[in-house]
Amino acid sequence: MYQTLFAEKRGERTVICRFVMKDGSINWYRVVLQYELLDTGAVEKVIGTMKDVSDEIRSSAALQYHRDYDSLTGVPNIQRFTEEVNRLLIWDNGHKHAMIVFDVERFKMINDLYGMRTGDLVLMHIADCLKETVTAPDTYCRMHSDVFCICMTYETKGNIIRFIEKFKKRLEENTFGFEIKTSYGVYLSDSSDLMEVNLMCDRAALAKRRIKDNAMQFCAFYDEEYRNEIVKNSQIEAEMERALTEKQFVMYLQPKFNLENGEIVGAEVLARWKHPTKGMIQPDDFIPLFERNGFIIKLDEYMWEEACKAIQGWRKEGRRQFPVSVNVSRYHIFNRNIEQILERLLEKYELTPGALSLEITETMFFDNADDLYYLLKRLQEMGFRLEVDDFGSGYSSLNMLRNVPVDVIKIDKGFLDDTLNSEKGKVVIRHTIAMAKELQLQIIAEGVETTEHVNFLRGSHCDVAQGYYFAKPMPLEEFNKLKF
Amino acid sequence: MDNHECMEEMYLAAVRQLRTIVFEINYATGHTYASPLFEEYFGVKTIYNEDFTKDEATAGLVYREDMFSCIRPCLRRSEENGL
Repeated sequence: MYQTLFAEKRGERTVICRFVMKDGSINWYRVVLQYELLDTGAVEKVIGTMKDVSDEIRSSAALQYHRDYDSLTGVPNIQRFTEEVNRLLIWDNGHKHAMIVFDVERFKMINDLYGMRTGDLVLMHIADCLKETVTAPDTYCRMHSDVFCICMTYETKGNIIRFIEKFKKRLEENTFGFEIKTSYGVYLSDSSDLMEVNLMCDRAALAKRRIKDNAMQFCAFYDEEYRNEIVKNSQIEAEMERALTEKQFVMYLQPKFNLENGEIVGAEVLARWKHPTKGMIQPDDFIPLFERNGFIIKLDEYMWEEACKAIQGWRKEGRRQFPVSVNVSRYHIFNRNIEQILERLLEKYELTPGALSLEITETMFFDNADDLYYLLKRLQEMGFRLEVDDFGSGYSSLNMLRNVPVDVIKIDKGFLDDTLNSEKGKVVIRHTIAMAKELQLQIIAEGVETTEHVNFLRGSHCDVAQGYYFAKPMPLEEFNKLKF
Repeated sequence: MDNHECMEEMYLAAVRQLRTIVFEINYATGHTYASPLFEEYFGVKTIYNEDFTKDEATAGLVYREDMFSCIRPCLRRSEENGL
């Protein structure tokens, strides 16, 4: 371009730079130089203009700063970070890069308890630690709220763990008077893995979710298997509401048998998901998820109603009546309407409370012993039969027998399997049955699968058994074919 | 006041109102001119070289960190070809 200009014997150049003014201040000037050249190429004449563009430059620099940096902490924002990481990945693609996403545990509580200003100071402290600890070309940003991200080169996974430990320790050196706990999700890419920055961040954030499942952990690494599980769960969550309205959840019933005379003396309601395209989905694939996301409330209540309908049907057919066990999730403990919901169902299907046996699990007592005690007391007084499911799987079984208002205990299958393998185990289970009887509780053995199980339970004077040895869980139509 | 003087007065008024400094360096005749704002702002009366760093009087005006970016646009064609 310059050669063309010079060939025309005229040229113009512009430069923007800072000048020191007479009073010592520094201002930005745009200097435009117009050249006139001799045939030899030497400059004959220069006419120049100088214009103060300080305001223009400063506002543009300020705009640029606000575009690229977080105004509170002064660390790069996600846009700037993305640009920097893209450059890093392209220019430094011989190295492996780690993306680390981290946040402050219970940050909302810090804001609520100590005030927003303290929350801001915590974020600024994190920014200072990042500035100190992370060195170029490694880079970092504040993604949003209390979530930060670091991109760094690494040799081994051990490097990353050591860095996180060091960084965590540095964060803990503060004068706030409370602990700043942070949790980290890491995605490790190898040198051949040129991936979009946001995808790397997403994977690191996904890895961080794993920490929620393990309170002892502060750092988790991304793996594909975990991602598949999350994808599967999110598909289930997306479909669960529709599944309920379209009645894809089906009630299965597993009969309970009197061990002395072989009569059916009860049934347990179990949920199955008959998916229109995936076929029958087993409870293990959706119940734990529903227990986490709270949907279990809706599913339980749907199953309660299905059970009431079935009981009403049997009564109209003049069949023998027995209590049907339904699950009560830990969410219902906090749902103050549980009594009203059950009363409404009994009224709708013209049943007495004795028609339903409510199953709770032993582990529910760990966190909510008082709430649960009063709820159970009220339900028992209303006339419902109360069963403790999975008895023997917790660690407070005996204490619970003494204090909790229940009518039935169900011996956990695992407990039964383990005890039958040793003489000591047999003694424990025999005495548990005897003690429950002393306390006037009914004993139901779950997961009875072998003749050895049955013989042992009969010999130990267990009342009732349930398991594949007698019958698998079955849909209502099939259950109706049984003799009762 | 003749036309020439009138034009010069208007010209000076315009550059002052626009807060723009104008200067001219004629290497062929040795004539140099800088509008009065230059002295007013920088305390230096005359510009002898458009590459400010080449003249002792103007070299100190360029902010140290911007020296290189200031010199580059002032390179002669011969120097540029050598880059």
